Formats: sequence, C-alpha cells, structure tokens
Amino acid sequence: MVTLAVGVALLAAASAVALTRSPPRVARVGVPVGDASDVPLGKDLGDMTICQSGETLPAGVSGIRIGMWAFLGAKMHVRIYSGSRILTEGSRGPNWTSDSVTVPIKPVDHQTSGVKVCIGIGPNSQPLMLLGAETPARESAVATLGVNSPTPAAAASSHAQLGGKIGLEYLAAGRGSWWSRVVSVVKHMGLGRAYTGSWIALLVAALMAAIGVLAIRLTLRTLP
Amino acid sequence: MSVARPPHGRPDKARTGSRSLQRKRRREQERASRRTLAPDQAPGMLGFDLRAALRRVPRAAWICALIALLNATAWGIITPPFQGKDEIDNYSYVEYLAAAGKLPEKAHLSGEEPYSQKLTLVTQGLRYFQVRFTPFEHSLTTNAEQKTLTADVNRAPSLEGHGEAGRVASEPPGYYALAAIPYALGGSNILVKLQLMRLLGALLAAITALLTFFFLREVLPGAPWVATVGALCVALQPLFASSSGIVSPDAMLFTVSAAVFLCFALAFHRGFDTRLAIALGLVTAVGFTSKVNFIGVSLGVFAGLAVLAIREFRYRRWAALRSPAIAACIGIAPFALYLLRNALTSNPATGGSVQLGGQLSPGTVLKELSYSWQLFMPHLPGMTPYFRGVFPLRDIWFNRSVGFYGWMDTTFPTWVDNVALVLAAGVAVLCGRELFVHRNALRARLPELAVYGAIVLGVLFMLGFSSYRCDLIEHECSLGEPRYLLPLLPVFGAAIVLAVRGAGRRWAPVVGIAMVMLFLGHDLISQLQTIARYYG
Repeated sequence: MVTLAVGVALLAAASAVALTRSPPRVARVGVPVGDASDVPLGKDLGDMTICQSGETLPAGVSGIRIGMWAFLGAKMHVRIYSGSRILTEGSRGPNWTSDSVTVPIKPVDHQTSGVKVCIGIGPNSQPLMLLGAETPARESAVATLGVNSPTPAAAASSHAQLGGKIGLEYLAAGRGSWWSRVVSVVKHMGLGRAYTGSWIALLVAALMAAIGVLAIRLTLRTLP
Repeated sequence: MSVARPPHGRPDKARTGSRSLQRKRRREQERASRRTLAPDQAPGMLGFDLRAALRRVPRAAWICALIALLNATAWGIITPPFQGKDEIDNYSYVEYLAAAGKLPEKAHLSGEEPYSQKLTLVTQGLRYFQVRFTPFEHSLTTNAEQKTLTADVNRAPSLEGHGEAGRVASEPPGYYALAAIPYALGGSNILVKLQLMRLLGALLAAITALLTFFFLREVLPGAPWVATVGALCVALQPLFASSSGIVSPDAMLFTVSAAVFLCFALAFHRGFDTRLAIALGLVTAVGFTSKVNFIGVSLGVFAGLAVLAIREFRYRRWAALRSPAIAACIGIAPFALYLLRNALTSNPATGGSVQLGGQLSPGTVLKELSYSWQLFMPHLPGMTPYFRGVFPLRDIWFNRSVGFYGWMDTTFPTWVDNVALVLAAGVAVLCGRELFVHRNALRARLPELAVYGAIVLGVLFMLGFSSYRCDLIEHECSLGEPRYLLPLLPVFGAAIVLAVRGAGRRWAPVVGIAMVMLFLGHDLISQLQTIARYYG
C-alpha cells in the first residue's frame, strides 16, 4: 500500500510539474522552418559544417530550430559567432527525426545582430537534407563536406554555396504554462474529427482514469 | 454421464420458483451437463468448446485485455486522423481493396502521392502534410478550419475512384481484409471509417494482452500474480498501445506473434498434440497474411517445429513428426498460394519476402549480416561501419522505445531517455539475478528457450535485412523504429516477470507495484506529450 501510495503521489506530482512548464515560443524567425515553401538546399550522407551569416540572435533564446530532414538524425553542434567571438553554443545527440531539429543553446542577455550561426553535423552516415529558402548567392549559407567542426574556418575550407539560407528559428521560453492553456488544448482536441466537441478531451481523461483504476485495483487484488 | 432433466407435469411455483427462475435453473443444468461432456463430444471444431474455454479465462486476464483495449482506444483518439506512421497508406490499401475488390498492384515510394481524390481532399482539410513530420505544427486549431474539414468530408463521397496503397502495397492482405469490415460499417464518412478501423486495432491489442497473460502464466508458473503484473505492464506499454491505436497491420502482427509464443509454451509444457499443431499452423498461416515482417517470426516457428520433432523423436519415433508436419503444412499453405498467385499473375506486389529472398546472394550475405549486427550492436573490428556517430542499441532502439509517437515526430527530451536508461538497467539487473539463481532450471528448459531465442533472432535478422535494402540499396533510410520489435512483446513481459521475481520473495510485491506504476506513469506522460505536440 505504501509503494502504491508513493507511486500515485509521484505520478500526480510529475504530471503537475510537467504542466507548470511552458512550451517554447518563437522569439525570432530567420528563415521559416517547416514552411510549405521549404526548398531542399542539399542532401548528403556524411559529416558537414554549415555557416550562415547575417543572423540576429535575440536575448533569452534557449534553442535554435534548424530546417533539416533526417529519418535517423545525427549529432549536432551549434556555435554562434559575433566576429570571431563565440557568443553561445549548444549541442544535441542523434536522437531526432523529422524535418526540423531543435538544438538547445545557452541564453544570452542581450540581442546581437550580424551574427554567424555555424552548425557542425556528424559523425553521420545517414541521409540528411537541408531545408530552407533560396536566396542570392552572396546571402546564402556555405557548407563544407567531410568536417563536423562548427567554426567559420572549417566552413570556409573548400566550401560550397548552398544556394539559399537554411531554415532557422530562435526559440525562447514560453509565457504561459500548460495549466493556463488547458482550455484551449481541450478545445483543439475536439477539432479535426468526425464528431467534434470538448467531450473528446473528457472521454480521453475518462479512459485514462478507468485504465488507472483498473490497473491499481487488479494489482492490489492479485498481490500475495 | 448423467444429465439432469427438468421435472414433468405442471411445476409448483412455490417449490420451483417463477418461470424465469426455472429457465435460469435449466440453463445452469445445461451448463453443468456440458461441463461433464468429454471434450470430443462437446460442440465446436475438434471438440473445442469455445464458451467453456472463455469461462476458464481468469478475471485478471480479462482486466488486462480490457486495459489494453481502453489504452489503445485512448491513443486512437489522441492521435489525429492519419497522423499514425503510414496510416494514410494503410487506409488507402483498404479503400482500394473495398472499391476495386482486388489487391493493389503498384508500390509507390516517397515523392508520389497515389491517394484517391476523396482522401486527398480530406487530408488537405486536416492539414495532414503540414502537420506530419513537423513537431511544432499543431493539428486544427480554429473553428474555421473545422468548417472547411466538415465541408471536405461531406463532399468527398461524391468524388469518384480510388487511390493506390502507397508504400504498403507489397504487404499481404489479411489485416486489410479484416479492416474492410469497419471500413464498410463507417458509411460514407472517411473520418468515421478511420476511427472504426482504429478500434479494430484496439481490439487486437486486447487479444494480444490476453495471449501474453497466458504465455507468462505458462512459461513462468509458480507465482501467478507476477504473470498478471507482466501482462499488465504489456497492456500499459505506450508504444504498443499507440501502434495498435492506429490503422496498421502491426496490430495484427503483434497478436499472431503473441499467439505463436503461447502455442510453443503450451507445446513444451503440455505436449504437442494434433489440436495444438492445427492451432499453431493456423496462427502461422494468419501471421503470413498479416504483414511481411512475420517472415522473421516464422523462421523461429519452423526452427521450433524442428526442435519439437527432434525432442519427441526419441520417444515416439516417426509418430513424433506428425504434429510438426501438420503445423508446418497448414502454416506455409497461404504463403505458398500467395506467392503462386503473384507469380502466375506477374504481380510485382509479391511482398518484401521475395525482395528479401532476392537480396540474399552469397556476395552480399556477409555485408547484410554485418549490417544487421551493427543495427543492434556496436561494430566490431574489421566491419565496415554503417552507423557512424550513433549507438543503435541506445540511440535508436532504447531511446525511441521510451517515446516515438505520431508520425515519428513526438519524442521526449534526452534527460527522460537517460532516466529511463537507469530504470531499465535496474530491471535488467533484477532479471539477470533471477536467471542466475535459477540457472539449473534454465538448463533443463534449454530447447524451449532456444525456440524463443530463434523467434527473437528471426525478427532481428528480418529487420536487419529489410533495413539493409532500404538503407544501402534504395538509399532511403534505415528502419530504426522500435515498433518492429513489438512482435516480441511476450518476451518483454517475461523480462518484467523475471525482474519482479528477481527482487526476492520479500521485495517482489513492492517491485511489482512499482513496475505497474512506472508503466502507468509512462503511458500517461506519453499521452500528455502527444497531446501537447498536436493540440498545444
């Protein structure tokens, strides 16, 4: 009974804490990510370093969303330079898949414009596609294949113009917690179906409650 | 044998009760008389009395099945229409089957959208392509979008024609034929059809949980309550529930795989008689019609039949081959007929099976074995590295088992994977302890364990070879989705049971409760994560 009570309490606490967090918000859009007009800027199987100039890093940004498709992601390392000085950096493991990847970075306390975002990808041996928007050659990002060090020097060595800018969005902590969004989430859950309405969310909650009660009762009854 | 008869003459109400009570008593007497009948006199195929068998199912098993049903149903509601992996292709297959009355012929890989006009219209209303594979893009959020969708859904039935089955065209038709029933029941509304087809998956999940319950009781007897904990954890497993809550032949594959495990458990523990051989043959036959991936399980099935035949041969000589031969003949028949049909009609939709066979040339087999090894294990010296920068066992199979929902775009942050790894290590230690303590008993059951091991290896190699083709020949991607391992759910349940028992007599109940709470919590948080992704 004690274990069960502790389990239920931990579960309730974990759910409550999760709901106090707020979803990230887009603080600035460099080039839209996941946009219908995304164009593939390059596809490769190996390591790569990409640098994109002329970006603006807003204050308080805790993650950068990069337009990139992979079925089996690769390790990512992002560094943001102001001139030759590193403003901030971050990395993430290969556990991602989709047409964008968010790399967490350390927030800075003031906005800086004219920064260069360098992305080191690898080690990698899986197909990976860079997504973004076409731009004139002088504005486009540069990439060097075969290296995964996110430095301008690495990107400049035998680099190739990508023919466009890679999708970049700057994410900061959101303003409202999940608790404050419960009503809108319940409303959204009722859309996009044959039968609509807020009762859909209540039905899911009832199903989960029934599952919880049944599981706990069965466990208690069957224990020696 | 004595069967009680109802009394002749007018019944005395005071003595016999009201008519309804009499009817109830008569029914009870009939039931009692049926219980005394010998099995070969009872109604049903080969003396199998289904109702009697169902009555013997313990209450705990029904509850596990009910939990799996409710869980998959909840996931089927949470996941927006068509946002399950390959769900649109699976739906399109059923639509083709129902409309054309024949199997789809052309497999379409990425880049081509072969769907019907009506399906295309509805998916546009759902913003399917914008939401799919884009984790920050939510499902519908405004009433105006819903209005457009409703108009599209209402307009769709007036559009003629049917599409094709996309990339799943090469799958066998068993699941799709079954799904055609809820498809037909859904009337003209595509979204109603889809939801009913998802309920079929939930029903199959319930059967899988039920079969897993019996498998665990059979292979790990002694403390039935621990088997209940194992089956409960399987029913609460979020990846299993989310994969069963969408339109996918995976749900049927999980069910037949669980049935295969149960048949072998019964064969090793109670003897492999003709009835069980027919049952295993039928299950194998159904398995071949469920999904191409069943070939992996079938490798273990045929290895298992060989083991059973050899084991019995010592005592019963040639008579021992009868049951394995029956099971093998029944099991392989539909697969052989399907291949023959495709060969005669020159149908390219011969399934990945034939493609798999075609790629197993002596020149590439070593490469494929090396690739398959590296898909799960670290690469060894001398092997060409195929997964640079990735440790597949952890980065693909473990992390994605923790959370990989929707169109493969809903995952947990890395720290959750790390916490889960610590907990999984604890489970592995307890499991290892139990196996070590009972190592002598294990030795006695080596043939049985070898069969389960052969099924596991069959599934892994099938996955490895298919992934090799997709990754290195077609240059698409490796097949790194943990749902492909879910046919091994009974083994997963057995690992849970071993871990609970490994905690020792005193702590086992505590670990059992902790395990159930852990899976319940994992399921709940996974659902919240998916809700946040689509509706936040």
